[in-house]
Amino acid sequence: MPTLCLKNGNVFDPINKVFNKKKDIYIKDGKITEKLSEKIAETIDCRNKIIMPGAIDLHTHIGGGKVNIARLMLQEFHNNSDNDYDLTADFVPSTLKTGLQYIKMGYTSCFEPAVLPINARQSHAEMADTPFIDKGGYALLGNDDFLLDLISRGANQSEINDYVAFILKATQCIGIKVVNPGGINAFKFNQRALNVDENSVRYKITPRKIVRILARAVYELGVPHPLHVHCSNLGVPGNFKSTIETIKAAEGLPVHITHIQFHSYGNNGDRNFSSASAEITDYVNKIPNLTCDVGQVLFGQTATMSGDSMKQHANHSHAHPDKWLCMDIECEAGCGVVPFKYTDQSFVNALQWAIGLETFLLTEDPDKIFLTTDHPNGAPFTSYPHLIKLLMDKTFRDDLLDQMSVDISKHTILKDIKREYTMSEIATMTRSAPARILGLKNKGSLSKGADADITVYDSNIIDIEDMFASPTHVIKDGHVVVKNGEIKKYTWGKTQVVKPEYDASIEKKLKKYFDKYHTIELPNYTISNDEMSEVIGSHVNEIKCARKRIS
Amino acid sequence: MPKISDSLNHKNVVCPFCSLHCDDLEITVDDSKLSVRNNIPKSCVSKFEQLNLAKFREISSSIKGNPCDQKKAFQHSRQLIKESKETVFFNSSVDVNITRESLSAASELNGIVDHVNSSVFLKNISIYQRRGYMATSLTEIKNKSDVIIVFSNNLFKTYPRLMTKFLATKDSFSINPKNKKIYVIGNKKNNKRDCDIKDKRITYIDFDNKNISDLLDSFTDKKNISSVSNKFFDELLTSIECSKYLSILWATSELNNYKECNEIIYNISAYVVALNKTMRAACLSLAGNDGDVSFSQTMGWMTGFPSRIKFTGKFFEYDKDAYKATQLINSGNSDLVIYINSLSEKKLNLNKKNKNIVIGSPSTKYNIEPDVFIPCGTPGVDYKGHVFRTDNVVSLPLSSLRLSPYKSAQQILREIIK
Amino acid sequence: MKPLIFKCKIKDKQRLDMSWLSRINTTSLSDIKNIAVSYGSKIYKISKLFDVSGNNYKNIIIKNSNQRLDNIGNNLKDKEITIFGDTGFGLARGMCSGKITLHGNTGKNACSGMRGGSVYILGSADDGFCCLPTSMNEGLVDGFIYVQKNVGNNSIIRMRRGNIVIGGAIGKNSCLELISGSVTILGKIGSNFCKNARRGTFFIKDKSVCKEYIKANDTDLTFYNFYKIKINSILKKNLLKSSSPKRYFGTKNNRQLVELFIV
Repeated sequence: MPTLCLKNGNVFDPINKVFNKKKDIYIKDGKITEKLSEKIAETIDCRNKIIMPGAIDLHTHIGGGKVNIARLMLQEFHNNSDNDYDLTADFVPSTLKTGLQYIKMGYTSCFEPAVLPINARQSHAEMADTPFIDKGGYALLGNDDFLLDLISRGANQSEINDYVAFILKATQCIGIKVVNPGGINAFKFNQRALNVDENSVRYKITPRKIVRILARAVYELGVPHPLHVHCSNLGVPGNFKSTIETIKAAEGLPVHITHIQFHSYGNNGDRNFSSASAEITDYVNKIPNLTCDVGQVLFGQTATMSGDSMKQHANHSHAHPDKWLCMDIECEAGCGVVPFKYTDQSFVNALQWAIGLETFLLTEDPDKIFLTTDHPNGAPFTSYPHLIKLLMDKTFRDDLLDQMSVDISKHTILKDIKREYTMSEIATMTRSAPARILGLKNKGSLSKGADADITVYDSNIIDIEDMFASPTHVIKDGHVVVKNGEIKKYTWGKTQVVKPEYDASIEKKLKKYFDKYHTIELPNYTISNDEMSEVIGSHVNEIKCARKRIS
Repeated sequence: MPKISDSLNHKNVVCPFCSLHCDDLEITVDDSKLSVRNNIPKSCVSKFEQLNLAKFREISSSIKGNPCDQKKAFQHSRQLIKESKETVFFNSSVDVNITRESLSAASELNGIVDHVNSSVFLKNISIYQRRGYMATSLTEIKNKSDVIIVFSNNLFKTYPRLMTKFLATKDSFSINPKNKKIYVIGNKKNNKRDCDIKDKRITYIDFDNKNISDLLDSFTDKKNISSVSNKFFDELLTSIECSKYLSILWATSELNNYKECNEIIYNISAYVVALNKTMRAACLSLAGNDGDVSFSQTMGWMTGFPSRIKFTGKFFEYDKDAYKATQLINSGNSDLVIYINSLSEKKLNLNKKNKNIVIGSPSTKYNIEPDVFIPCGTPGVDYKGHVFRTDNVVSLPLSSLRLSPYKSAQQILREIIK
Repeated sequence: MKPLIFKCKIKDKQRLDMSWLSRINTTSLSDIKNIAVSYGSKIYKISKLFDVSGNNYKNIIIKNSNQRLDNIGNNLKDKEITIFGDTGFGLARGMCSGKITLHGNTGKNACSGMRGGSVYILGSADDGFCCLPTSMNEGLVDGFIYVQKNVGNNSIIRMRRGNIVIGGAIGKNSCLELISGSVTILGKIGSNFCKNARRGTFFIKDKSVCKEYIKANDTDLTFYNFYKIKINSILKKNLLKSSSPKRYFGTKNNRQLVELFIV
């Protein structure tokens, strides 16, 4: 592998507290090294360029059953005449287009947040067909009959920890996500809503309990990424209360609340819909172990896809175009795909847009909040540069607010917020912070020994949106893969996984359950490393876990 | 052919043949001979056993019916590909990896990719492309569904273990399995014959499935205008109304024999969607047995379209009419068709208007001798693979049970394209 | 400026996707000749497949056309295309505005998802005429279409708006789930006509379909007379002759607001 040097660039490397410092970066064998004395194969002149580690998207729906359903459902939008890619729509791109568009924006690692254990093979196969980026997934738990049954029978925490660890190993995932805790399961028994302290009809357990137990399991197993929580009552006016209760349910253990914008709604005002971002961000700022991503809404056609079949079914009447699909899946969870068009003529959509921005701007620490649109639920990931501009440019933001078709100025405090994100804060929230929260020691950093995933932006470009949309160079594992917007080399990233240890006796219990109730055999549920590389087509990289115990 | 003297017992083998992909098989391999140890229907066992037949174990490649060595067959294929003005990759029974490879091959040659069952699965997909759809999966039905309606004329022949392994099961997690009610509606004689089990929970109702829409209208209006007897109608209606979780199963491939097919599947789906306003119900449309689901899913994530695309230099285009393989073949628009058939026993219908290359399992049958025949191994028996089950969400690993004298279909494709 | 003329000189039997036609936006003949298109397994310059002359890309003439040329006028905007010979599938698919005149017959799925403009087919149209485009729920959204001869099966599905005039017969399963719009059919009508239609106005000659409808006693002919004058003048033909058509309407079987005039 040829050696590489990035010379004279202005480096942003938040992990090493380097902000806008002139520095040379040396790369050898796909890693960042100290200054090389040997002859360097390629030197890139980075004067007037900004150098950052490759960006990390920790919540983006890029592979799995529901994404594929959306691709097939919304074929009429596959008419992109943009000649750089295939025809697929930006909000439901093919795997190839996903990889191409991410790498061209300087993103080098992406994580699929909803891997159904039974559907993990498909998720991994799709991600394996996504070029360039490193990937990983969070396995969905918290609505599966096996776990709910364990909890309802009062199983002890260690047994649950073993089950969670088994699932992580079996599905080759990097974290655990819980979606509408217990709610998807309750929907299968015809419950249409489930509040944080409401018992499910079938198992008589509350979402609070599920969150607490899973957060503890993830913590005790030493999985770096805290429990990834999609709270109850998605999209329901007044749901900020259940979001706060869900945060409290973790009892101080680390949790990550995802697409928090969709969970920050009040029910005040003449429209019974209001922003509760102040209440929510107050919590985020206050509680040390809490992180969140936003799930910003931007206007335009998109498709919403979620494991939350309960709420997706409730929202299907808003589908645009008028079609949708909900599914109950294998006693594990569900899924719902509802196409949706956010317009600035809708009061609710416009306020959603503002609530997302408020959340970004009111959260003080960029280490605690991550830039996402919950692709494609709020907007396609290709709109990240636009979103960055909204955060970095108050005038731009205010102008858009003024131009909006509906007047939401009385309902949002956006105009009173003076804050503009700095380049350093953007670097933190898109690079170092997600790497830290995922336990990716070699990513999101330009330290010696880190993976050489690097993005170079041209600081001569005045428009921030343009700058972030078209990096001049993107380096993946030491190869220059993008140069001036052109693909120079195809590479295939790895799948990041964790495999905490567990007591194998859980497999016996599971085997009994599988033999009696499931329709497949336990060994076929599990994906081995060999299968990942030989059949599915992606090599795995294991991240170490260190077991902890709550005293 | 290499001599192999292994005697191995494989457990939890996934059956590659029908789209239920039962994965509880125990298969012993002795000197490359497969014997199934489970007590499962003969029709399932015979699919494995026929791979033992000597004639299928030593079949060679052939050019126009004349046996030749593989190298020559590859060379001739390359020649045909070189001379071809337009190549169609007509997938017949494939897994995920063969689909990936045929896409990649088609992109090299600017070819067209289609599947034999496209017309049927495109109809299925069109339900949720045009309206709402509530779907479910087999484990969910096994454990939660207390009332199951199956529209079937021949389903239990196509999916031999559907009733015993998935519907009329001994155990259910969330309901009392004894209270399950299973209604099999359609050709009673066939259904009774094919589901050779005695179970009080099953009711067979003789019905002409072309009139399913009438039956559903009757349910909605609570007034019987269908040809079902009033006794059965009342029982059905009561069961539906009292059910905790109703499942309706059908196979679009079977209903496709009626001209009302589209209307029927839309109506079933609309009925289920309407029921969900107050209760829980869901549909499961069973897929065909030629790797339909694996093919359409893989096509979906790689291109955004389920089938029928043509590569055009840098990119590809989709057109469900212009790139329909049978149409292209019959009207002589394409001059080379590459059939890929790694599992199915269905007879391939070749057309002599164009050149034909068949990459097929040794047992492949065809109407006329193809220009080139290259035998390939069977995924799930000879080499590893990855398939989707009929309910679209469960994907299972296919294992390699024995050393095979044949190359995999994807390897052959790679070699003849390069 | 002279009309841009493409004279087809293809001898091979492969199909050709003609979508590029709608995208031409240059008057430079050499640029047009150099447009690269995929034909069969190869990429060709247009000049290899067509004799090209002229430069007015707003007025295109295709000569020697045949049934292997697909998607002519796909998503067409503000252009006029005149075609001599037959065409393949998907003529005027998703067309937005402009005009297409075809002196010949057209293949399957013509005018599906058309959103505006006018199409004159001076021949017959095959099955799936004005059908649903892929994964969409509306067939003809708007526009004017005239077919001089016959139309195949499964045609005019979920039409939303617009006017269709068919000089000949129409096949089975036609005019299903109509949402609205006006359709004139002067020939025979196949079975299963107009099932599950919500609204829509028909001017037909085939009386056999009116059995299921209710006959109206007094008929207000204002709309008919207006329509008759309009259609006859657009087509410069005396197609609608009757001065006192019988009117039928439907209330049974979901045909809530469907109107039929027997002309």
